[in-house]
Amino acid sequence: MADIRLKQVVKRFGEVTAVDNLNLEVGAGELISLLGPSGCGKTTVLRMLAGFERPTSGTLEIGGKVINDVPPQQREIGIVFQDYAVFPTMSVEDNVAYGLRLRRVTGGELRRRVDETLDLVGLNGYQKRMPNQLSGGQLQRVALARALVIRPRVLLLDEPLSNLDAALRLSIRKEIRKIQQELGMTTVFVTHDQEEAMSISDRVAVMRTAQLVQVDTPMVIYEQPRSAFVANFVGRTTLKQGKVTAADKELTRIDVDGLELLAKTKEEVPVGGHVWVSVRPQHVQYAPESADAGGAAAMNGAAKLQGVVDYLEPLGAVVRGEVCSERGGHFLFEIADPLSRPVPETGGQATFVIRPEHVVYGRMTKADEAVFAKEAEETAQAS
Amino acid sequence: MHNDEEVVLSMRRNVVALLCALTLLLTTVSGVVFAQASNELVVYSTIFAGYAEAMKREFEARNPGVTVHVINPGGTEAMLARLMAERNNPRADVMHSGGSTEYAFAKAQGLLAPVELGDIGIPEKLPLGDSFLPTRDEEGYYYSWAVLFSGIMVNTDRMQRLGLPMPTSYADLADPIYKGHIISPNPLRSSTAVTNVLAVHQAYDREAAWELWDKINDNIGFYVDSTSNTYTLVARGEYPIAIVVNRPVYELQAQGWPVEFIIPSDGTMVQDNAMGMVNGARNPELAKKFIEFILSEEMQRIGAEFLYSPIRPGVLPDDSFVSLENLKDDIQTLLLPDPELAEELRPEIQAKFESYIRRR
Amino acid sequence: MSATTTVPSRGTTALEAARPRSGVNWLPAAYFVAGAFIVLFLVVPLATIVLETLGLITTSGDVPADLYSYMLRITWNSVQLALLTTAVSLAIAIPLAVAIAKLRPAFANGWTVLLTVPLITPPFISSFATILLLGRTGVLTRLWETLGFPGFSIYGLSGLVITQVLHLMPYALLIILAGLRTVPAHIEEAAMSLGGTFTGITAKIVLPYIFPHILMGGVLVFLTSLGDIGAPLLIGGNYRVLPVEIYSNFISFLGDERIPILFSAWIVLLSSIMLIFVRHLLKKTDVAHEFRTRTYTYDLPKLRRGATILCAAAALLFLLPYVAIVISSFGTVWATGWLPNEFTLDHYIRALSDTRPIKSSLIVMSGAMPLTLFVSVFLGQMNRSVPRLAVFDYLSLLPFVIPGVVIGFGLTRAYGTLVIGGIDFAATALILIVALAVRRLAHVVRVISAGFARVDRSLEEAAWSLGASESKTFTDVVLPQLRPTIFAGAVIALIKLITELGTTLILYPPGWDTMPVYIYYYVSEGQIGRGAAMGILLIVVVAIGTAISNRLSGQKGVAAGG
Repeated sequence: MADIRLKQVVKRFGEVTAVDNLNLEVGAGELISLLGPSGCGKTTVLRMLAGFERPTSGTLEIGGKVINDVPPQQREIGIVFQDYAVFPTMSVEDNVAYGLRLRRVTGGELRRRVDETLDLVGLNGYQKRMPNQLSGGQLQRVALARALVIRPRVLLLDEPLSNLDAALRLSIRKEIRKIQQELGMTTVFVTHDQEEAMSISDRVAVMRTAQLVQVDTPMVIYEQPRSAFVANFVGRTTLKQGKVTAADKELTRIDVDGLELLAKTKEEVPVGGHVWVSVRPQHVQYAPESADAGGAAAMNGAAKLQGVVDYLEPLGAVVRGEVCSERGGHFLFEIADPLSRPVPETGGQATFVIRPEHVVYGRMTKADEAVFAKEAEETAQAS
Repeated sequence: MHNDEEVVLSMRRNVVALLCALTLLLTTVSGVVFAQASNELVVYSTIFAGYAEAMKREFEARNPGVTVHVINPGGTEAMLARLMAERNNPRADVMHSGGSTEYAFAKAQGLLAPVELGDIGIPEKLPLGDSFLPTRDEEGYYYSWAVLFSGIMVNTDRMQRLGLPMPTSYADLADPIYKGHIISPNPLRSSTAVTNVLAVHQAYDREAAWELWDKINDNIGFYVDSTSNTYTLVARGEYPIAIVVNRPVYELQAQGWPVEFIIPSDGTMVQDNAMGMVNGARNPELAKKFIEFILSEEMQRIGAEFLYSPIRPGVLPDDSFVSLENLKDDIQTLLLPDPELAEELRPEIQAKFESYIRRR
Repeated sequence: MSATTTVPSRGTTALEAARPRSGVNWLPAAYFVAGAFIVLFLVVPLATIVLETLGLITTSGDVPADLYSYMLRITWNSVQLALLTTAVSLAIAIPLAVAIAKLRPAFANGWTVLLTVPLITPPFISSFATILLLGRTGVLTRLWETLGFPGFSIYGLSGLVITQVLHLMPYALLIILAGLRTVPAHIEEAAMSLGGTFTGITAKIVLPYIFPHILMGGVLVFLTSLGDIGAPLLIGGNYRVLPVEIYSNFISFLGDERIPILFSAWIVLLSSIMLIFVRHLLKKTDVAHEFRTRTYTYDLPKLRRGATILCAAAALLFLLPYVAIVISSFGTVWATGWLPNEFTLDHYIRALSDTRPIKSSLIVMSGAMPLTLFVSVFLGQMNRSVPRLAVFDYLSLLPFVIPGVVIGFGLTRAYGTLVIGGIDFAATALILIVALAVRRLAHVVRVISAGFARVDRSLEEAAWSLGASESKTFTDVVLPQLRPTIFAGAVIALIKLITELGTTLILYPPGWDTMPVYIYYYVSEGQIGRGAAMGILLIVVVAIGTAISNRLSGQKGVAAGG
């Protein structure tokens, strides 16, 4: 049973549409991330769920009840803000106790619950501290405790980690996930950081310019992006435009700037159709042994990519690089565990293979074209 | 743990509530405070501060428990305006100070109520020059309490420095040599100024009078809104000449300022300072007492200390400087107030001086 | 994190998720009161004036044409005076501000404090200082003449400009100083690295950067000059300006009754237009600067010395009049010597024993200050949470641009005959309290809005999400953050209320003359010593009030977190 349901939700601010016909269901106990670049509407969705904005049309349901007209005070949600929003004039325990007091919880019970929750977020003993004595990470935990202690129906987090430094971000997001799972709390997590979303979510909802683009588990999002945007936004990839030259039920042949790639047929695209193609760097496999094997044709169905290695980034655990080929253009590649594998040299000729099961493609839509246009613009500006 | 916050919260709430209560309390108190008590007397008077304080002080001393509020509406005309505005619900008990012609006007407008004083030792008419000066309205609507004379004030020091000849008459003031050197109180505000205007009109015929005033107006530096300030300006030497009445000049002279009062040879108008009870006064008993008091020997003597020529005979020895007997000897042409003329000229004066002032 | 978490997960317990009982939301009631105050005591009076004017123009038909040309001439007088005052004030304030903020003169803070003394004095008090020093028998004039220069009369435009600049330059100075503190250091550092000089950078980069502040300072001076009545009455001479015309004709029987009505409506019209401009400017300069921007100061010893001299000279120049006032308050006649003829405590004794004005001022202020604060705070809150009612924010700024005389006049016209429960509204101090609260509203609103801008919105949202009603959130979250601003507002209100003259002159019921009225009365009668003594007492009251307020706000300091 879906705990949260958004049905055809639209939000307009004057001329601007911030959320366009969004449909989403979140299961009980699920942690779903709303992921997307800034301005895509994810925060607006969250604020509508919280009750700080009213949808222009559509319905929001929590626990099966429509909450459009319910004021924020009565929605039983817990919300954690990007800037913590800890009450500066109250101590830690008074902050956490605030919502409880409003629910007429007093005395021993109040103290017990506050202490418990502070313990849960690892702030045992911090009861009497004042906010100006706490670090960013501690403040964020206070905010979390304050939201959790009232046993909300739903937990909303609005980019809670953006203001923290890198190391803290990692540790706190792990904690959040752990607590969320322990409590089985339905949670919506807004972020622009795809690694964050991927690492802790049950599912990820990718948004772009007011629309929901794809909702899937992290791995599916990564392996089977359904649009050029998702392919490009989540994880590193080489994104190219191509034309279908042949297709059957098993394989589709795509010409990418002169390079012939074979892909496992996912979607039926007629011959001559334009498609976008995405190949993850780790799937552009360095295969020096294939260098001399027959021509440009695929070996075992795999496409052969030959070119000059433009640059190499030896990062320790992986080696990343880019290869430039006469046929196909630039491709990113990645080699894991480089100490036990052959690694090409910068400036040298190298041969790579790309297997059909690793080639992701999709019919080119207007939205996809926009992604390419943006890339082109950015490259033009850079040069 | 809760106590601190709750205490702070409730303190805050208390402070807010306290402030609100305080505001309400203060504002209602102020309302109640004003509801005039039966031992409060409100006097509208344009008299200068020194005398105002004296009258208040002396009356209160002789009437313990009574509080006198002396309010200066800012000029005789202003006082009339105020009384007119309040006629349906008068706030003043006594109207005090200003020429008798103003009071005649006030009486005609129904702003005054008659007071019966009986015989208080002041004759109904005082001999002055060739004729008699009435000291009260026949029906008792107003009473005069002091006598002043209109004329010219000069700062001798300044006149000397500027090399100006001393004027001897109103006609002299038309001389272009005085351009920019003369000031006068604003006739639209002050009865002192009106007195001087009327003086010229009684000394000359209508046309000639306005011609003369046109010329004088050309010489006038500016019309001062505050009558008292006119004297100060001349005393300080800001301007060398002013058209005023005599008493304040004597006072300043006594204080050591280089000033002199000149009685115009073409005529000096008597300005009898008057007072009357306001029609509908809340405290008529007290008002009557007050009027009596101002005319009493003690107060008349105190007035003489301020260099008012007392209306009550016998208060000062005849050779004393400000006694009427002494002063009238210096007067060549004495003009007595003519209420009918004043009434007739009223609108003309208003229009004329309005246009004088606006064209500056 | 402890291993023994005992918080049960969802779905196992039934009772805990109780609905919060957040109580009654009393904010709408507060909004209503604040809004009603503005409508009743600002909109209605002004509308009354406008309607009466329309009636006058359409029915009487014999409003002579020369009345209009007279009005325009007087308007030009007012504008000319305001322009001159503004130009001179800015010409002094800008270099002074730059010297203080950028050149590190010695005792910088001291100069700033000294130079802002005029701000806590009644505006017109500088006029009699001008008379004392520059009148015909004034100390400086005599010095001037002894040195052989020709004398001049101070009554008129020149005296007015001097008086107003004395009082208003510090306003502009403070605003420009505040503006200079928003210039980030790296801008000037970058310019220096490219070879810029102090004067070049200041003229071409810094001053343009703070142009809105300069403009705002100029506008404030301009508007205050336009609405000033005290100085023109005392020292204006022949130079007649709009507020004086309204006042004179209003109180005089022989005055033209049409003038106050017509002129007031004219001012309302002009002011409404100016308001649009002013509001726009306010938005630009009131942006809350949460971060303490690091500002750049120059280390140039020669200029440093010059700056110190400049500041000292300015402080001397601007304080000299007040010194003169203090001296005259202790002296009898001061017209012939370098000092008064005699020294006496008489003025003070008389002033203190006249308890009525002191009492009136204190009572009126105690009534008006909470009123102003209340209305400002709730208007500000209303503005944030009910955007549809933004018009009130607009209206609350009207008193900024409308002279006190007009407000007073409007109130008389609208409520002069109102009787509540047998008591004449206009005969009680209530009308004065209300009038002053309205008149000074704009200043307090401005300060409080700046405070609101600094309130963290997400704190409110957090409280709402936890179940607090809007009014509870207001008291728990917004008010604590607003506290320092409220105290600042209280100080401003105190100063502005207790030194008000224009509205009081028109409205004060018998027995309720306040300290400024008393001062004006005595000075206009030429008794400068007495007026000066009361003036000094006024300054003392303001200083005490300010100290109390500072003490109160500093005691329970707000934690600096967040």
